[in-house]
Amino acid sequence: MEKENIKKRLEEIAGKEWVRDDAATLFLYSRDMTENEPHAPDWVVMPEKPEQVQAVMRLANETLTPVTPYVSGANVGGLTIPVRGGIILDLKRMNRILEINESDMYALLEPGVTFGHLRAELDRNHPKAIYTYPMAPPFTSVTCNALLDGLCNLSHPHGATSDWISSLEVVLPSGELARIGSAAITGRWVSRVPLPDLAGLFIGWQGLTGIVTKIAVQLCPKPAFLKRAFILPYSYSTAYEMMRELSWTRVLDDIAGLSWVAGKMMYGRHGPITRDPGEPGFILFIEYSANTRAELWSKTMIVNSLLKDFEKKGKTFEGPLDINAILRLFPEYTKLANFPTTLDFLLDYAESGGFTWVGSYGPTSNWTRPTEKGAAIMEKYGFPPLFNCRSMKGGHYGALRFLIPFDRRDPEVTKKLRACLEEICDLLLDEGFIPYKAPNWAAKKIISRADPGWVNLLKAVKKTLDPNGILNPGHWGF
Amino acid sequence: MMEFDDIRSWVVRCVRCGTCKFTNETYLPSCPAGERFRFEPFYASGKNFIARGIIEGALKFSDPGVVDAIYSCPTCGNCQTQCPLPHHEHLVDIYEALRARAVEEGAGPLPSHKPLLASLRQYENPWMQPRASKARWAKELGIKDVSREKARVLYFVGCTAALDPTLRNIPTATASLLQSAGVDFGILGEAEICCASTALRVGDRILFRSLAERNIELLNRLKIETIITSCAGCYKTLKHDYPAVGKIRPQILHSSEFIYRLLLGGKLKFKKEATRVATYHDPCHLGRLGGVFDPPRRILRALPGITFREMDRIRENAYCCGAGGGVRTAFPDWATDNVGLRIEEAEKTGANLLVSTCPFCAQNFMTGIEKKGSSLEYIDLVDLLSSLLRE
Ligand SMILES: Cc1cc2nc3c(=O)[nH]c(=O)nc-3n(C[C@H](O)[C@H](O)[C@H](O)COP(=O)(O)OP(=O)(O)OC[C@H]3O[C@@H](n4cnc5c(N)ncnc54)[C@H](O)[C@@H]3O)c2cc1C
Ligand code: SF4
Ligand code: SF4
Repeated sequence: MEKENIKKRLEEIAGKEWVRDDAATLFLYSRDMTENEPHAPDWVVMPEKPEQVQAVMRLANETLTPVTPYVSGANVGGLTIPVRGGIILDLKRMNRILEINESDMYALLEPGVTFGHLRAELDRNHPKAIYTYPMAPPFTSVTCNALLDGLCNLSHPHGATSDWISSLEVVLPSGELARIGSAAITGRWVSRVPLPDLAGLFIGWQGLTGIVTKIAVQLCPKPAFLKRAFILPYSYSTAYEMMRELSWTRVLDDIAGLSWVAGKMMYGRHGPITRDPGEPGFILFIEYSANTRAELWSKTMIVNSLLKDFEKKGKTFEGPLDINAILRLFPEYTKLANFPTTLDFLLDYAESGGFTWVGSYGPTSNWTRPTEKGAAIMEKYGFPPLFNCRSMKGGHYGALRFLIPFDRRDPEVTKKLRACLEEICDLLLDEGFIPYKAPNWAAKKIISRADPGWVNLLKAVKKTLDPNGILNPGHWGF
Repeated sequence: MMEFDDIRSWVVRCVRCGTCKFTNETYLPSCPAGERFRFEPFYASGKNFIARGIIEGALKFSDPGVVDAIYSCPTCGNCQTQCPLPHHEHLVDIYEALRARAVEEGAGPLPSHKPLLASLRQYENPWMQPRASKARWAKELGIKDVSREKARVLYFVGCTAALDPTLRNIPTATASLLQSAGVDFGILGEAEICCASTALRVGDRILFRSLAERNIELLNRLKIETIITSCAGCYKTLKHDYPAVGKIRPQILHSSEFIYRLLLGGKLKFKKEATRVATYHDPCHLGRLGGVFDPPRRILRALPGITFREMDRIRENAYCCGAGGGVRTAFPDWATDNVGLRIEEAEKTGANLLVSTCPFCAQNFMTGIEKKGSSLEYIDLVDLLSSLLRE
């Protein structure tokens, strides 16, 4: 079909004002904050209802037009760059909070709902409930984050945000609509069990298998008491040992860390950053909560006694430093004390809008070596060794993420950056960590190392759901 | 005011994190352009990236959608409040510099802006009215003409309040209030030249500079100590934009600042009270971009009988009415729809009186209130205050 005809059909589906193909729009949707090569879509369409998403998918199938779903494009992996052109389906208008169910503790959301909006709704109207928040900018999608296995501030007790999904509504590449989880059977959005877990057909797939139009995510009761503290270990190995042992106490809601570089960036440092002699290597933050003061006190005792043991073992660290006390002295640390947050100090380090990373999940038994090696690789390429980590799901696995704010204006920097990212990606895979939110180049590396049976199954799933390969082509190695 | 070359180092700082799309911590919409059009080019990040595209040669002003996105923005500056990165304080400068470059390249302004600029050239006001009309509201009010008589204070009326008959209460109330407080003031009448805010906002810098230079020369020549203006647009332009062209000797105050001083000095005696519930809309050019938040609020709180209630988005976070930056001229329907959102927010407070301090906002609010059939009454702060000084 002629391009003009496709545009006409899209306008019939979404309404004339919600389809754009002007140069300015195509330019904006062709790139993100990362080093991934830009590529323009042919149209950007903004549906308002699942039926319109279905109609777009039917048209896309009929005309073999690629479709890339999009909410904020802040995935830090080039995942919404439409590498084969076609339609960007910007889901910002599908931003209704459909239900907050305090009784069954879930929130039913459209994909355009952001962390900021969910937080505001809970704070204003449901103060007894909380959700889990990433370090991502506040106006990024809760749905996308969950589908991308996000790591958030309650990931320690509850796992990646994909584990928080209790039901889904999905438009398949064919345009059919399917419900997943209890919503499919009883119309209640409470759980994915006890059923064949079809949510896995869409989680971690970067929008290659279906477009989620509704998501139910679990909520947690807001605790009466909350305590947050910083601990500053001097070595990476002490930090990780501490994180693992703290995880096993089963009393913490969050255990995460940032390398020393972040502390310097927080004070507005640009250009080369070096570690001062005697400077702690890690900023660990821990959070725990309780229903009563007595419970909080007991948890504090458990944490303190574990830290005493570390002291006795000769491990060097500062703290625990109560976050509220720190904030009074150094208000800059507010950025790490309340979520959602904006990591502006980090995003602006290179003063030119470029930001990328290699993030991964892997065994906490092997956190230290890839960290040390990854940091060395970053320094070799001239990037400050900025990384963060988080204990996930009771310490069963951990996140390790190397973050690089970079100068987008300099092609030499981009070349160096790509080499650095590749080297870190290979290192992580060698060390048993799997890159997450993987850009296409990283996905190819994952696939090249994968069990052939897994790869065949992956391909078969994609072929079955999307025989024409129209959803988000050019990603995940497809 | 920044030149296009000066914005280069700032536009690159935008990471497209999207934080500017909503208010920090309360997560309410902040960007009227984004709220209306939703596509990425219309948000602050969109305009930053368009600027970047132009600088890097990937986009041209003549490319479809570029001028459209640049001009679909009331330049309200709410994004400046929300953006956490260092370029935040230059965002409106960036949009205005983009518009100026678009005009230089013949791509801007929008066709509907051109008659305003032609009027500015011909009549020195954007409303296509002869100069003589500017003094009409003051006839027989016994106000000094400062171009002929000495006075300590110049009331710089501004074109909109002077020429729009539906806003006549603003200048007459301001004058009567100054008279009843015994202020030695005058006006320029038909000699008053437009501050040229319109030219600056839509990107015609040559016209802006020529009118600004004449105004600076005229205002410095007068033997006045203080200039007061009841228009938020004139205030921002004279006080914050003119310094890029030249220095104005007399101090510049918005009428709300001046009147607040009169009130503190015991110069105003209330004779009535108004048992009304009032809320206040911060005009972008007075509040966020002009730095004046408190005097209007303090006056409102001091008015006998008035119960004052704040809206959800106030002060730096105040949601723009949508009239500025050439939007009301180019996109009247959008401006009216947008002010409708602000009217709903005002209604939510339970107020029956919507008070502000800008004739341009006033026009938009009055249209919006009528279109929505809202029971709110719009009134300028000075008009409200002055009504309580009369028996
Ligand atoms: C500074 C910074 C810090 C961050 N920190 C964290 C962090 O701590 N933890 C974390 O988990 N993430 C983090 N992120 C990553 C990211 O912002 C989040 O995962 C975010 O929620 C992605 O949302 P988005 O709206 O930007 O998604 P987008 O980028 O728009 O989309 C993400 C992916 O989902 C697909 N998609 C979009 N809509 C749908 C749909 N309806 N159905 C199916 N697929 C869809 C897209 O095609 C794309 O592949 C961070 C990002 C930044 C910039
Ligand atoms: S203007 Fe500021 S807040 Fe908005 S996207 Fe750019 S960096 Fe983020
Ligand atoms: S100036 Fe106002 S309308 Fe324009 S981009 Fe900023 S917030 Fe949006």
